[in-house]
Amino acid sequence: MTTGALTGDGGASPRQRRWALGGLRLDALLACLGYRVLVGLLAALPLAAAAAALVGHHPRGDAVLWEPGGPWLVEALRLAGPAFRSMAPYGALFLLVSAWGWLLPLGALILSVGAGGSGRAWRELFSQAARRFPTLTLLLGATLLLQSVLLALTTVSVTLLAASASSRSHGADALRIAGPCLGLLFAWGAGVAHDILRVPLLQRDQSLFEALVTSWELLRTGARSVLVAAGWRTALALLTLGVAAAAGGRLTGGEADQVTLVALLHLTALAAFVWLRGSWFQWLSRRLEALPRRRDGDLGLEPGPRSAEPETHQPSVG
Amino acid sequence: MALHDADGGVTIVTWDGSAERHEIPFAGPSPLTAVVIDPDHRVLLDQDLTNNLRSVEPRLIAPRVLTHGAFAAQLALALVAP
Repeated sequence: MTTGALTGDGGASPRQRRWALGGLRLDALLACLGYRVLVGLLAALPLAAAAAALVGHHPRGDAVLWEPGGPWLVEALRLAGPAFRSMAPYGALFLLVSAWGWLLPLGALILSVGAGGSGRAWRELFSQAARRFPTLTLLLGATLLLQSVLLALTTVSVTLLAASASSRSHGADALRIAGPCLGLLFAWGAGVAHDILRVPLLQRDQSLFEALVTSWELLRTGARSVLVAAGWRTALALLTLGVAAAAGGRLTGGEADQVTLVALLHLTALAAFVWLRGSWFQWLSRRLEALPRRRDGDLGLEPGPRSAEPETHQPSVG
Repeated sequence: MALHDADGGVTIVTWDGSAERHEIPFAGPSPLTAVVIDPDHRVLLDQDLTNNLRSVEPRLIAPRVLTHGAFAAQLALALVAP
């Protein structure tokens, strides 16, 4: 990993050079990290205010919520439970809106790892990502729907299969566990395909159909390497987030209470997650650049950036 | 009852709870900052444990809940929009 290195295209002027971290533009990474930190804080702020209203008078503050046996935690959940349940739909809506807004900094990150992306101005990357925002939204919605259907179908079908076999056998228990795991695996696969689609869509400015063809070409020429590259990054991200969650839990409350250290730990895990996402898109970009660009006329596709000329429409006569 | 002073000292005094109000004379090197009734949770048959606490400067934000809540939101967002 190169820390604090300057990067730029061959012919880029010094003003166009950007700080990079492991080959990824630092400003793009920081924008993504900043967005996620902001969303996290906004989501947690009502919870933190509600907790302070309940135990804010305690001399140890909210550290008492992590006391062994959890008497204050149980009391806080009992008193604030109804309010939290009524807020749950708004929380889900906030999560969806945040996922939608995430498309902009992520789009800029994807563009920054593409050919010539390291020398382009941040505003330029952002505006290009914003231009493809409707298509990215459509893709995100379709992927979330597909993932939900895959997860539900796999879980339900395997549970029904386990119920029809024998409700008490070890095989049936294994099937009940395997169902959601298989569903998660399929959902992960759909997520990987979603990522692959986003790269040509943004970097080559292709239409959805053109991006589908390019993605298929990328998968056809190296599906195994794509799965390996996505797999180890996902595993490492899960491991990092899991370790941060577990260590954060141990460092909260009790004798070893270190709230600042926990916050730093969480931030580091989040930064690693964002960097891994950037690294994955960088890998996809390189694979995409290695693919031969189709000539005009092949499949009726135009590989290069689209012309800025306005489209002309024939008025329809009724 | 636990009486917490500004220097971090804790004084334990007894209140039998027979009356609704009770006055505790306190004299110490530093002013009181917080009072906790039943600090060891001996009486859990209480409709609201949170009114057993009173402090001079209550916290408006719970920092640990904020940190863990923000991280939990991150994990949820990582599932929906990685």
